[in-house]
Amino acid sequence: MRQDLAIVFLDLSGFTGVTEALGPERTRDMLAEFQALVEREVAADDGYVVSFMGDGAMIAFGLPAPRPDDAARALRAVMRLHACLTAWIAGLPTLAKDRLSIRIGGHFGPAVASRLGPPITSTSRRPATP
Amino acid sequence: MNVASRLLEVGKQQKCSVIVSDDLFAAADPPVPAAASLEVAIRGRAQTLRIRIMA
Repeated sequence: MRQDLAIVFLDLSGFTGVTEALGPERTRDMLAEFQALVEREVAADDGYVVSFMGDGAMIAFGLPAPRPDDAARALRAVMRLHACLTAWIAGLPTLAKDRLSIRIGGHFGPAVASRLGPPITSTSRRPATP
Repeated sequence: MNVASRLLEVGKQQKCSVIVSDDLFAAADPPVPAAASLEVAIRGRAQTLRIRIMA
């Protein structure tokens, strides 16, 4: 299905060096915090985290169905993600905060949306609790 | 999707944190002053792309 989508990519720059300094357990904890923060901020604007790729994420606005304000919500989320992630980095241990920075890119245009996994619904975004 | 991911590379080249395409900026019609705008080459794309540097 061809439709207009707003797509946002974000990436923690300097992450590889930080993982070497922090070690695997602290890196795992830091990534979990990062991903939870991104999920929360994206959900606040009805966006959808398509995937996390280690220290990065791909986010869509316009799935499962396009809305007239997809681009506006995406831009709002981009600016809020930048502010939140910058503040989060500032609160990290010195050896992480001195090396990490955030990069975000966003675009709006036609894309082909096809379902390659489970249906995208609000209930499918998080695993069911027992 | 390629364009959005390539903008991360542009951000690195331009030494800035947040870049959006002018397509996104215009479609969002944001109630904020226009951000700095420039035309850039995008890897894998024949045409240049107008971008907005947001931060």
